[in-house]
Amino acid sequence: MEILALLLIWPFLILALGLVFIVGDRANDVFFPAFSGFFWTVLIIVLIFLYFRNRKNIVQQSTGQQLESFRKLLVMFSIALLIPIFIQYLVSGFDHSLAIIILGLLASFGLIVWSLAARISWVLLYANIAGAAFALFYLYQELWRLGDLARIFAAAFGLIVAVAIAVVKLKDKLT
Amino acid sequence: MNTVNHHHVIKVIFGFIIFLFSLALAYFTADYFSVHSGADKWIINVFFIGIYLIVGMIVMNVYAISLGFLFAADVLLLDVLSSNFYRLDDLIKAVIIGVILAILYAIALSRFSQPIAVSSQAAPPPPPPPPPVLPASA
Repeated sequence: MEILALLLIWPFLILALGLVFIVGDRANDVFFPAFSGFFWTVLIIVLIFLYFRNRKNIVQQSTGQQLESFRKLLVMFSIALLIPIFIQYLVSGFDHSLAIIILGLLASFGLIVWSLAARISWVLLYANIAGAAFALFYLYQELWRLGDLARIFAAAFGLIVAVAIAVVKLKDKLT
Repeated sequence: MNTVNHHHVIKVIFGFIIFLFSLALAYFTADYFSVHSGADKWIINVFFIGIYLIVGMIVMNVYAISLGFLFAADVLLLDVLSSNFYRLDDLIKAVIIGVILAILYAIALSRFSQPIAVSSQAAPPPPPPPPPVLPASA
């Protein structure tokens, strides 16, 4: 079973990456409608930046370590891009209902708080924060369209979460 | 050392050949049946995806063959998804992406769950300076 799991990881990661590219154009239209290609331009710049930042480490690594790093990068990249697209399809599938938007907000803030509080791994930390940030960007756009009351709710909710995170995370530094 | 590298190269080449031939078989069969019996190409591709997945899992001990079949199934699945994804209902798309996300999280939690080290404790104090050397009295 362990061998099968190890064997299936690479094909699955390539499948997930392929799915990201299949739905990527839709993501660009949803998140940055004014500038087609912006999403991919930013991603390529980030990847080039990451490569040059870690170039020295990459050269010093063995082939196995390089493959492990590449696998981590694939998982991080796929999770970060699939979270907002998942939320977008969920909201769209439920006909932009307010309950689903609120659920999406809770899930996105929950992911950020979980990654900051649990300290599981760098892969999940970066992936969750980037994915949830994109998802929040989209959800706030949706809330903005719903009218004044929704905007008040959105601002209040964001403020409460920001204060809660700051109290939990920055308490030691402030006192 | 050279023998090990040689074996690895042979495995990769054979895996790649299996990958190419399995893709060719699937696409040629799909073309043939779509022309002669009017069947949808994607249905035949789905049939081949199932077969390749099963064969890839059965021969998992010979990983060159297994990966060849599994990557061929990957390419066929991505082809089917890319040509049919936009026809699906948004909820079904959400379910597909949700399943992929759940598996990605499972991989990340099982393979990369090294806790992040936090340096919350203060740095240890520097060692005390050595005692001054007194001048030797005459």
